[in-house]
Amino acid sequence: MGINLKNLSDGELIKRLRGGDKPIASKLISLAEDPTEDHTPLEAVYKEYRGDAHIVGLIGPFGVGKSTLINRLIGAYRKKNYNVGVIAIDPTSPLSHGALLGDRVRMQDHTNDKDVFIRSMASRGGYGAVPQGVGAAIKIMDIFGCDIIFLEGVGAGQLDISPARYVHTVVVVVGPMMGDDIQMMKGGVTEYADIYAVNKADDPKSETAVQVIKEALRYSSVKKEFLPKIVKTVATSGDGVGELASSIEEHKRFIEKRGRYGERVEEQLRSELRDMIVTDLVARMQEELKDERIQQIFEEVVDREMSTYLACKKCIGLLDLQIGNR
Amino acid sequence: MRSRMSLVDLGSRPYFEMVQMIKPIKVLMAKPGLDGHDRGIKVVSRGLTESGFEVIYAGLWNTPEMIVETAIQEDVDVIGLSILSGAHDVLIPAITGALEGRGLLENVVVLVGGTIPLEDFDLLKRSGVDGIFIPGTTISEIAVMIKRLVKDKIGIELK
Amino acid sequence: MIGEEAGKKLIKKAMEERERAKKGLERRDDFETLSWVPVKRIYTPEDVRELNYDKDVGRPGEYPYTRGIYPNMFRGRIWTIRMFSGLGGPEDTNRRWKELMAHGETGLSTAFDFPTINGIDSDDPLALGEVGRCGVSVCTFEDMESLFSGIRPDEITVNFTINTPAEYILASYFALAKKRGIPISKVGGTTQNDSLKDFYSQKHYRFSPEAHLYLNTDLIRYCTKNAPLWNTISISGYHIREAGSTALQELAWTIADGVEFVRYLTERWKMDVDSFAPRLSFFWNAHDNFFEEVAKFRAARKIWAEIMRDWFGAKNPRSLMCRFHVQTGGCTLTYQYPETNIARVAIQGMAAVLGGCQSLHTDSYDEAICTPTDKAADIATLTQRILAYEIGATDTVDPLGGSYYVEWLTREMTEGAMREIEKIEKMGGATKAILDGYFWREIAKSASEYQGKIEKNEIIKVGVNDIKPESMEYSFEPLRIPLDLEEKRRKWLKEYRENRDGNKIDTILDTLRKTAEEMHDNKFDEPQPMFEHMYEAVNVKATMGEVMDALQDVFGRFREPPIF
Repeated sequence: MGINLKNLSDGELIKRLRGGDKPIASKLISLAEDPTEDHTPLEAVYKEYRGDAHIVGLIGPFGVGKSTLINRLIGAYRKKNYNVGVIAIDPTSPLSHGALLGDRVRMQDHTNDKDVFIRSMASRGGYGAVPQGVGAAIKIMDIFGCDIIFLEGVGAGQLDISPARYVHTVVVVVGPMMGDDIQMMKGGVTEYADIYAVNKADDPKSETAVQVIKEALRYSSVKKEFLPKIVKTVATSGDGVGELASSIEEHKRFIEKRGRYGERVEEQLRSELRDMIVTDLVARMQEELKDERIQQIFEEVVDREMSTYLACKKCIGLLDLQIGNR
Repeated sequence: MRSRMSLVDLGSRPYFEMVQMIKPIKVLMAKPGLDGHDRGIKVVSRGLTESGFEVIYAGLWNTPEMIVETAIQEDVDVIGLSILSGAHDVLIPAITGALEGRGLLENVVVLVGGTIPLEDFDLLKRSGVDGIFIPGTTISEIAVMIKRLVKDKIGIELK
Repeated sequence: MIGEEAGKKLIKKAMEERERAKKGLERRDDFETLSWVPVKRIYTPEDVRELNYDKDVGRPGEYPYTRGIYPNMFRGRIWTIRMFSGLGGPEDTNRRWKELMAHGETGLSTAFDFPTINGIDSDDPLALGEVGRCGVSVCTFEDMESLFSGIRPDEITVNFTINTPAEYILASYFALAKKRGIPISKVGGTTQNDSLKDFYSQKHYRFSPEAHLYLNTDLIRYCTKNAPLWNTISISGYHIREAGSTALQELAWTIADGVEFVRYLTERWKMDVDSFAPRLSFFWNAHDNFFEEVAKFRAARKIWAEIMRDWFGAKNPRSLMCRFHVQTGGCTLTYQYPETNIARVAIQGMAAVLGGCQSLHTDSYDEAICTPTDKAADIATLTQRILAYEIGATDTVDPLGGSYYVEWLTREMTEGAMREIEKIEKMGGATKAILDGYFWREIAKSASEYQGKIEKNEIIKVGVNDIKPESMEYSFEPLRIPLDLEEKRRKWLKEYRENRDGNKIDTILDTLRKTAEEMHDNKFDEPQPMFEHMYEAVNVKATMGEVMDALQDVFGRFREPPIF
């Protein structure tokens, strides 16, 4: 929509971002999401980025109330005069490449608040992928002035923990324990979670959820320094949200005291770059695989003239990349 | 248009899935005013998603300002408005007027769907609406129109 | 009009039917009602053999009231001709009401505009473009006074189609009566006051289901004590049907909502069921399938009587009676050949009459295109008088009783609905089902199914998929409201706000907030009265929007999870 970012100098860009120019911020995020465009304007963003904003990821199964919870958290943080950013991620369909981004609707009443920035993002990858533009979006919102940025992770039956690498504090949101949730608890989430929010706590079954979490923590081989907090919430009424916000602040103070805050920022940048390189390499490789000679080898495998092992050696040999000998 | 892979972690084992990286068209679907009939907008939102669009669903109870703000924050290419309360003659011009005030009207396609009497089509078109749908329009008709309008008005073309 | 091409198609279709009939085939492969209940070629005594007249059907005026809630029904008194109306400002509607009464309307029914329905004032940003459009705009006590200028609350009954701000509106009405020297114990009428159905149909709610349930039942509590003639609630199925449910779902879900209200009142307000049950009422839709609708109304009476007696132990016969208002289905009207809607409405009205309604609203033929014109509304009113006096439908009680088909269908509807109601009970009741998204999902399914059948011509709508008009012309002027109304209302509210005691307003709004907070904190377990505070609010000239905003400060605005 509208603005041409290339016409702005770096200094002008940053000035406008810091000045609360939402259209510019929004356009920059779109640029970061678009792999086909020239990303030069983002240089200024990465150079300017200091990593002040507290980044909180909320991950959890579908329908557990993450968006409603974030809506309440926005209210709670706005009362403390924090500037709030939200990045709400939803899966892109691998078949149609479309996406239904419906998280925002739960937070829609904050739209007119100039100190709140909500951005929906489609994963634009397979289920569970973190969108390409998340890293940059976080930096853009940070420079824009957000004190706290909520990242709402893709929910699926299996818990996806990829957003965990991009955040300071991981909040795992569960509902009254049933099937999927219990599976998730066994799936290794205890390594990542800093806070557990047991939502829909007005349901008596939520006590089971609390117990399941405590069990999982007790028997987990990973002992975290910050003992994960368990908070009961009822997002629809707002119960427990204050407590949740306090726990989030507590975790922030914990990692700040141990000097981890800045460390996390550095880890994020490393992860981001690594992911980007690998993704780019693989993408290029996909293109290369279309090469006639390589396609011929595929056919030979299909015709049972060769094993996949031998075929692979041959293909690698033909590929225009240097990945070393196997 | 490039192909790209995306990385999905399942525990520590990387899993690659091939995805065509076409930058999809982003559509904001919203209901302005107090009209509570959301069956139509939900059906169209779902249908457009299945047709490859990225649909941001803003639900009910949006003032013109909220719609413009949402369009800005989400950087959409298309705004789809559903209105069955008869208040379109006031609300739609208020929305297009607000878009124009922010210098955005020329870069976004504005579509309106609902119970719009034929006499009002002219008024809406003059206020900046690019397309109007009455009950009975199919999803594929809407999808085709969106692609054409986005190409003609904004210059974005998708394969 | 019908063109040559369409005419040829008609002839072709008639020929095809004739050919099929010659071969002993039927017009279609299957026949079904709009709840997808299969319909046989003919019904015989075999189909109703197990029916025991005294136990399962009963006499009118006796348990289980299948044939009617009074022994003499329309032989005694014709149903109330109650036309839903409202437009523009209070003075405009007042004028219109007087015209309708001159045309034979015997009860008033108020249509409020969208801002009022949502509990917001005419000058709220969300009210833009909506003021006075689909109904009358009311935000203050003075508006209520203008609306009822020259009309005495003790001489006519009035229905307020209002849910979210029902307490404020009713308090204003009662305050008006009191001001005119009429004790509220003499004031009769109805408030729709059913926010549960709003969650899965009209979406005019503001707060969570729990908060609305509290407000709805608080009104019932207050009136039970102070306004014994007032019908406290109109438990509604009309809107559920309009949103796309089947007839069976309309029946079952409405009653499930009713169960939720009764339970709340007996368990949380600790009221005796017979104290309030006689003043509960229902509101049904009269849709396209004539016999199904009649069966539905009969089934409704039977089910409600059974539930009230067996589930809640009600003893007063009046507690068991499903008294109801009917409106012909707005969604059944067509944009195409609008005058044919007159025929539709007459038949739907007839279903309501043969179904034993207590009051009836017949839609105007132009309603699919715009807010009804006066002329069209008059025809709709007169249609009711034809049904009442010209055709003999009211000369005997429940004339369709005893029809093998109708009794069979009544039993099908009763059993089907009971199963669905029990299913919702197992989920924890209507509120829980709402929050679980059950109704949203099921309505989406039913609506899709209906749409699919229309597109495949399995359900016929004349003018839509059977004979389409060549051009969409219509011979009347769509109703437009004056565009300066909104501006006028805004100006008026501005002055109004400037001429009152701001401190008193703040005090009462604080009281409301505090009461709401108490409710919120103890999770609505021990509800406290709120209605009485509304009088104070009305007294100090707080507007409806201000009152509702104060409640929203505590309850928050509820946004439903998008279920597609």
